[in-house]
Amino acid sequence: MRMDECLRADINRKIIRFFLENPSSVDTARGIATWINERPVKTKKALENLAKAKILTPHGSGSTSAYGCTTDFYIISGIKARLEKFE
Amino acid sequence: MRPLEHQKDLYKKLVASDAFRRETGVLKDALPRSVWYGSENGKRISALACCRRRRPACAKRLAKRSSCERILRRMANKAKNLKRPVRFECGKRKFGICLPIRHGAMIYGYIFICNSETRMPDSALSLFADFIAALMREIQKEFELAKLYKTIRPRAIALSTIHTTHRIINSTLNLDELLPKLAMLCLQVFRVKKCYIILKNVRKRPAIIKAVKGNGNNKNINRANGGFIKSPDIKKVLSGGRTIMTRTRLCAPLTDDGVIGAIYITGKVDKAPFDIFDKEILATLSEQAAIAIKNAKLYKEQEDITIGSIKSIAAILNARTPGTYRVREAFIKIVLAMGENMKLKPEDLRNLHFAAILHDAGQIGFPEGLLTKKKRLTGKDYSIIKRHPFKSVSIVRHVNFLAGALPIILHHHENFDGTGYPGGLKGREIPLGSRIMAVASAFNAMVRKRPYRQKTDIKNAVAEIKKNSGGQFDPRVIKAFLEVMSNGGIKKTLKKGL
Repeated sequence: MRMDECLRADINRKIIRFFLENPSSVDTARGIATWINERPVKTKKALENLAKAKILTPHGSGSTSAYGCTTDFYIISGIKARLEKFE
Repeated sequence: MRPLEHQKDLYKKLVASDAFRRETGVLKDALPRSVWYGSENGKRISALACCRRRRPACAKRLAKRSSCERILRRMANKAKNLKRPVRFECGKRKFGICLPIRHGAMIYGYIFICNSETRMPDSALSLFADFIAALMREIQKEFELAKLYKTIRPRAIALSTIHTTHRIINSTLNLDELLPKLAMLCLQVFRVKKCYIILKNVRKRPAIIKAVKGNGNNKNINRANGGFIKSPDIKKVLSGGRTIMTRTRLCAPLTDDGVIGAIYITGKVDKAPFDIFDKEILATLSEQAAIAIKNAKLYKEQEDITIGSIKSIAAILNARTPGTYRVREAFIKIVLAMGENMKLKPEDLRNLHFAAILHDAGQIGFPEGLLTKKKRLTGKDYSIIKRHPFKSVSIVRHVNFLAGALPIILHHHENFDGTGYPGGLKGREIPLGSRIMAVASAFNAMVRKRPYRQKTDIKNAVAEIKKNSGGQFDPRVIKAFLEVMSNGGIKKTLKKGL
């Protein structure tokens, strides 16, 4: 999934905004759903898509699967610029 | 009560609130020609509202009159000291009120109503004061909630991160998996360019890098010496057991009954210096990591003991009939490689490993000379041989940790087409581990010399196995076998071990 496509969904933008505000955060889908006030199932799906787009880094597996923001500077600056356009 | 930093904001929020505007609207009608002023500190007075006939500009002009200003300031001072509303006269038959906006002992500002032609009744004044106090409480609650949200939320997120990392670290008991995971989490949590996980090794020199993650060069790693790191910080941490922090480097010890290693992170991505918060988080993470590393090491030791005991049983069996019960490493490697190729779960791989070592344990019950017999086997011999899976199971079933390996051992002579023994099972009725063992076992038998026949070369043995795909053997397993056999590592092992 390309970055622009990722930003089209409201929940994806919410997740990205959360990680840009808290770049050190590593959390499970349930945890992130709480922070962004969304349903866990919907959040899990969005997190998987964002991980596929390399915007997020997946950690662990199964019930301990968690996500953190990518450390790639170019991806972060690219997503920031696109997010500003959307807003 | 502690004065709030946002005192100005409280006053501004109050006078801008809809409830305040509504109230002033009602009072303006009750107090004709009144002029409303407000002040945060009792000194700078600004126009709030004016009666309907007058425009805000006229209120501003009135406020600029020095006499008016003097009166209002004096009344603000009086209200401040008395901590209650103050009445005053401003001009001929004109009445005014100064109401301090307060919460407890703290005064956040003043509201003045002046130039009123009627005197506000005491009951109305008291009601107005109560209303302002209630509004003030509400606004203050809102501010405190916002403040809590601002301060507690980042801490809660950090706490959740620590909890999640703890869960991830403790989700594996494999040290080779754990250390890269730990390094990756450090990169993520601290937003650093590089992370090294260093473990002490009593037999070798200290500071051996076990995992490295991140970008940048590795010039400070001495690869010639097996991955030692050339950093005085690490030496200090490993010997002193204290965390060392500079602007660009942070190194914390992994402590468990003494220092067992260190986590070393360098260079934040945003080039910010490391701070006390990073130090505390790394200390927490290293405590959790030390426990996880200890658990992984203990698990590995236990595994080694288990495998060791199984190998001992196999050695005892071999001692009874030397040379007949010898499970070759190459055979075990092929079986495990096939299992990995077929993406078996770690638990199933473990059972397959145990079964590979002990699958023919029942041969111990064979009459002397049966395995070394050079003549053709008789029907009676075959019936004894066909019973050996039951014997194998009856020997090893008393060992609890081998429970998962029993079905594999029992059915490893079953054929995919149902022509095998002891159960004559067919297709997927046969446990997958047994189907893997059947292929590896047949290959092993072909490439080794037997008393009654010569050995076959590897190429022909593979061709023979391939020929029986779908008949004696599961085609899916054959596919995995062929992939394993094309692997260079297995070829080398076969050359050495057969």
